[in-house]
Formats: sequence, structure tokens, C-alpha cells
Amino acid sequence: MSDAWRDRVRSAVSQLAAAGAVVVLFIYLSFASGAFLSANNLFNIGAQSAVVAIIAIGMTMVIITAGIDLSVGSVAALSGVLGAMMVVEYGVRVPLAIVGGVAIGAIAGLVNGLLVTQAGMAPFIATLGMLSVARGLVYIVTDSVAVSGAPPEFTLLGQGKLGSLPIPILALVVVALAGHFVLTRTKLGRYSYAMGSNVEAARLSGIPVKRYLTIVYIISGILAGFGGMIAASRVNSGQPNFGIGLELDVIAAAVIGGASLFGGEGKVIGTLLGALLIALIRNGSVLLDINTFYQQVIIGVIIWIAVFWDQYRRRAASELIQTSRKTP
Amino acid sequence: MVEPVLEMREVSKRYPGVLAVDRVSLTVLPGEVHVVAGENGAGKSTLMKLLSQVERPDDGVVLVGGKPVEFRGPRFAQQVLGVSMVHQELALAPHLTVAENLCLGDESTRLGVLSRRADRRRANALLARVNLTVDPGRLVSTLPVADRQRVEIAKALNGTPRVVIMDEPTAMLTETEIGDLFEVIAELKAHGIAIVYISHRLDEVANLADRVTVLRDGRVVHTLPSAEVSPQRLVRLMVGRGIDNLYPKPRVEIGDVLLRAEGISRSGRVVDLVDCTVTVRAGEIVGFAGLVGAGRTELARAIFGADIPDAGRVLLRGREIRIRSPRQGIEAGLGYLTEDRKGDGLALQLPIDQNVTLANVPLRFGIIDLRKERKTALSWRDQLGIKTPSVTRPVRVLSGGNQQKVVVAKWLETKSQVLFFDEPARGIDVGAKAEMFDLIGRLASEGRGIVIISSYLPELLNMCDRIIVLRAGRIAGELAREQFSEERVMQLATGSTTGSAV
Repeated sequence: MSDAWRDRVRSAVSQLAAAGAVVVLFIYLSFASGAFLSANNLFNIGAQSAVVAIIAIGMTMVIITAGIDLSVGSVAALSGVLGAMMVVEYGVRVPLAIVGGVAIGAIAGLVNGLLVTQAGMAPFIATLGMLSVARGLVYIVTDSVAVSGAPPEFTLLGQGKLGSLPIPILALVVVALAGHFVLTRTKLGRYSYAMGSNVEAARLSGIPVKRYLTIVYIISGILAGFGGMIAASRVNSGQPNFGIGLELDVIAAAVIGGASLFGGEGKVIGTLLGALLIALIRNGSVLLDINTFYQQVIIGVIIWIAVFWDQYRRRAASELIQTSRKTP
Repeated sequence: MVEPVLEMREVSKRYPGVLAVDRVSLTVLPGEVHVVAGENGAGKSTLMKLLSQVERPDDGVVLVGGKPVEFRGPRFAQQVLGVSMVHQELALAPHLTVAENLCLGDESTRLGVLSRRADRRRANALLARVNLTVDPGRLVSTLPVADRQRVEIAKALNGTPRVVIMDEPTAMLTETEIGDLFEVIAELKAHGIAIVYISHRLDEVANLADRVTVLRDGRVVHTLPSAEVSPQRLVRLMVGRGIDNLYPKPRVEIGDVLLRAEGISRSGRVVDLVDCTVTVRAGEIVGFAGLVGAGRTELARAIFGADIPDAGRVLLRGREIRIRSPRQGIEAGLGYLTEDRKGDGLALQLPIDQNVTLANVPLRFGIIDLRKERKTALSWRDQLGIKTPSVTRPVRVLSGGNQQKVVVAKWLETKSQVLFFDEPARGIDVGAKAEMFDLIGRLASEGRGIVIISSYLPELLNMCDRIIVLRAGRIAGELAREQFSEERVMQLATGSTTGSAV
């Protein structure tokens, strides 16, 4: 069994590296700032990172299939404002409006999926179009004015607590467990890795590639919609400008966590760590009174390191294979 | 004694965990074809990288023209030393023209502006040396593979060439194209240029070489003049042991018709299939022969459902099956092992067990049964002799032969009754080849129907009960085993003579 273990560790190097970075930063911040370790602050970090992390789990699936979904920020905003409008202007009950917001995300994801599988567009282009279309729709329906005036129940999803646990964190835990399960124990997950690793091999093995790819984009849309509803609920309004550039944080979380943009690799736990690392950097910069502009720079540098590490690992691996074919 | 143009003395190269090239000494004489033979992983490619200065040796000396050379990279090797390399995967920029490729990195300029006319003139001169008449203004991507290779050889002749290294140059060529290539090589020889030629194909080695150096496990086993070369001897040197029979075909009772494909037609990008009918019986090994582009792979893909035929029907055990996708072909009991394992046969990053179950994931209540998956993979590993300590390691770390077995396991796991093997021996070692053909024979003796597609006739002539020859998308004829001969197959494949046994 030791070989199997070694393989498992080897396949989780990126995640271990991300975990190491989180631990180091965590220890550093608890010494550097007195406010850091308070329950309040920690829950705050969790709630802040929850939206990014939830959407990033969908993104991880897309990236595993060697795709990308650039539209998540716009789709989240569209779900948020339309969900809020359902409540404010049409008197829809809050739980139903949340479902409605998520459904909007699903539709956007479906369109992305069909553009990729049926129209044969590159995922980058299909979702870049959706990024623009969804954002445009947000401004059209809101006239670029925030949708506010929802009843207090609307804030439950984003601000409520179960005991002392903020509901966004709870939602994240549920989504993460479900995401991990789907990726490791269902056909959908298995086929996602297979398609990302070699789409033609997957097709010739009898996998209905188009159907499964479409489902993956729908899931990304659903989670973007869900994240958008949580965000709207946190500020008790549908904000037309929410989520501009959010896709970058989301992709960063997945990539830092070991998802490979070449497809075939990625794990939910890694993405969670990636999102956590980003949230810690944000929180730490605030606590230590570092100019917020530096946050962007630091996060960018970490993405470089993560991707460089990924490529280095690949190259080292492929060179080793070329020359060590003989060793079984 | 002639002064060697190139010499290696005790050269070594180490990669993390492996000694890829181990104290290799080698001399190359002007105007000779020096073949370097050896199995995959024997160190041939690394050796060539050291010669062309793509990699830096850890130890040892390389001499050109009797003088030790320093290491300054591939550009230095080509332009100053005159040692250049023709890569197996052609290293041309497809979006540039022939002339632009030939002068890449060394463009002619006038007052700092690129001079297209001067480049064209140089390109034409280089192309003439490789007997290629194409317009140097054409885009490389529009040329057929054989012409691209010729362009690459021409590129290697830039400057003052003394040694040209060719890495398996015939891998992608048809018989006629190989003949043309050999003429070019003969001409280069006549100009005193030495050729270092890497090859797998034993028949080529004997025809072409002046001397042969055999590598095994990074070491030189032997260097021998071509007069002493025989295929048997080469195999023994390469593998380190004798292999009595490369094609162990078992005696099998041939049963009822398993697969019948009738009137398959399909217009395709490379070739149009026209009205092809194929029958495969239980226990029978059928070969698809034909020139490259005759439609062998296309026909297999159309029957399997990888490409949907325009017309025709497929019957399995006499019952018609509707095949509109690979999924339906697989469910009906067909399996297709692609020619290009890495390109479209395997998910390389995924572990062995997941590749084995890819076409048939074991589920329990809709959830993947990981324990069963592991057990399935382990059982195939033992039955097929896949050499790996664990089935959780990525498929990409396996050797070609073992990767091929993983694909076989995948299809056996789907209970395939008829298996198409497209170039099953391509890119795997001599030893692994014999093992692969042994396995194919075993699968047939268990009552499956087997189709082998191969460009290498000895494989078909030895393994098959029947050979179907395709020509330009049509079935040109069928030969039963008693009728087998290389000439008959080639007659049908080329349509050269009339007296064919249709």
C-alpha cells in the first residue's frame, strides 16, 4: 500500500504547498496582529471567502475539463439583482427568489455549455461573451441602480447564523462536501478529469462528452448564481457593480489550489485553501494597515508562483518519464 | 584511416534518478550512415540531444574534426560545428512559409529590412539539395508530411553541414516516400556529410547503415559494420536476449461470423470510403492492409462509431446494431485501440485504474465503487502482465508497451467481442512487441474477433488468418492465409497488376 500512498502524496503536492502557505500566513498573522485570532475576525474571513470559494468550486470543475468560465462575476451579479428584484418588485417569497437567482445562473451556464459543445467555441471566448452579455443585462434591468428595499428575511442567507456559525460558511461546507463527492465518486467527476486529460480518448471510450461538458458549465453557473445570492443578501440589495473582476479571484483560488489550466487536475480541498489564502492576505493587509493596492500585487505574485510551480513540476515529470521508461 | 568527423569519449548524462547515457564512446566518419539502434529508453534520444547540444553532457568529451568542443547550445552546434538535427516530430513553424522556415534565425537583411528575395534564393538552393520542388512561398502547414520532413532536412543543411542527425525519420512515411528519403540520404553521403540515424526498424538498418551502434540501458553494447548486421543479431543485442518468435500466432478453431459491416460508405477529409464490406469470425485475426491514406483507420472508426458512416449497416452475430457514437459501438461489443495511444487512447494524467475502467466505471447505487475499481485494475494488471508496482500511478509514467496493455484492459473490461488494433506495435519495444502479439493471439483463441491495422506487412502476414487490402477507400481484395505474400498485398494496395486474387 505504500506505493499507493506515495502516489497519493505526489498527486497532492500543490494542495500541500497551498496548505503550507495558509498555515505559515496564519501563524504569522496571529503574532503580528492582536485582533486576528478573535472568533469574530475568523468568522469574518470565512464569510468573506465563502462567496469566492463557492464559485471557485464550480470553476475548479470547469478548469478540470480544460475549460474556463470567465462569466462567473457577471452571472453572480445578474443572479443577485434579479433575485433581489423578484423579492422587491414582484413580492416573491425569499426562499423562492433564492432558487430563482440560482436558476438564472443555471441558464447562463447552460448557454455557456451549449456555445462550447454545440457551437464549438473555445470556452475562453464563449464565456468572455457571457461576461459582457450578463453584465449588460444587469445594467439594463437595474438602470445601474442598486435594487434595495427587500424585507429582513432576505439578509438571512448572507448575514444569518446557525448557532454561532455564519450561514455562508455553512453553505460553503455543504457545497465543498458535495463538490468533493461529485469529483471523486461520481461519473460526472470522473469524466470531467478524463475529458480534461484527453477529450478524444474520453469520447472513444463511449463518454457522451458534449452532455457532460454542458453539465459542468451549468454547475459553474449554478454556483455563480448561488454565490451572487449570498453576496446580495450580505448587503441586503442587488448591486449592479458586484463581482466585477471576481472571476480573477475565483480562477486564482482554483489555480493556487493546484487546478491545472491544461485540464485533468484539480481538487476541491485545494481550491478551498486557495480561497482561504486569498482571504487571509486581504484580511491581513487590513489588520496590518497595508495599503490595499498591495493586496493585488501580492495575489498576482502568488498566482505566478503557483503556475510556475505547476509548470516546473510538469516539466520535471515529463523529463523523468522520457528517460526512466525502463523502470516499471 | 579516415579522421572521424565527430567523436564522443566517455560521455555521460544523468537525469534525476537515472543515468540516461553512461560513458558512451562513439565515432562518426565523414560520409557514413551510422545507425544508432536500441529500445525505447535505451538512451538514443538523449545521446542525440547531447550531440546537437540541446542538452549539456555531465561528463566526457565531444570532438568535432578532432578538436574538443565547448557547449554553447543547438545554434552553435549547427552554425559553427555543422552538427544539426532532424527531429522526429518535425520542428517547423507551420504558419510560416517554407523559405521563412529555412532561414529562421538567420534571415537575410538589406539595411536592416528582411529581404524576401534573398531568402527565396537561399531556400531554393537548399531545397534542390533534398530533391524537393515546392514553391518556397508556400505555407509549411499546407505541405504533406513527407515534404515537411524534406524541408526540415534542407534546414539542417544550412551553413556548412558535416553531420546530420535523423531521429526515426521513416516513422511517418509510406514505402515510396521512404525510398525517396533514402535517395536523399545517399546524395548527402556522396557529399561527405555523415548521417547519424536513429531507427527502430530492423529491415531499414540492414539496408542503410555503414555501421550500427546498439545501445542498451544507456550504454554502448556493440558497434558493428553493416556486413555483420542481421535482424536476429540486432534484436539479441538490443533486448539482451534472443526472441525466437516475434509473431507467436496460436492455432485457433475459427467459428461463426461475429461482425459483419456491409456497404460502409463515408466521405471524409483524407479519403472517401466507398461500399466497404467486412466480415470477422470468432477466433479469427483479420488484417487491414493498404497504403497510408487508403482508409484503413477510417474504416475501423466508421464501424466502431468514432465517425458516423453515411451509408451501410453493421451486424453483430447476425443482428443489426445502430451505431451513432462510440458509446453504442462499445455497448454492442466493439472495442477500438487507436493508433495514437497518447493522442486519443489514454487519459495520461489519470491513474492506471481509472483508465482501465474509463469505458465502464463500476457503480454502486450510482456512486463509483473505488474498491471494485482497484480490484478490477489489479486483476487486469496480473492477467496482462502490466509492469507497475501500483495501479494508482499516472498512466503517463508507463512504457509504451505497458500503456498499450492498459488500453487492452479497458476494452476487455467492457467485454468487447471484436477488437480493432490500429498499429498495435507502433512505438513499443521489440520485446514488448512480441508480448503484444502473443496477447492478441490469446484474445483470438478465447473466441474474440480481431482486426489488426498495420503498415508493416510482416506483422499482418504472420499474425492474420485473412488480409483485407484497401485502396483509395475501397476494398481492393481479400487474401486467405494460403495466398499470403508481400507481392500480392502490394499489388492490391497499389493496383499495379491485374492478376490479383480478388
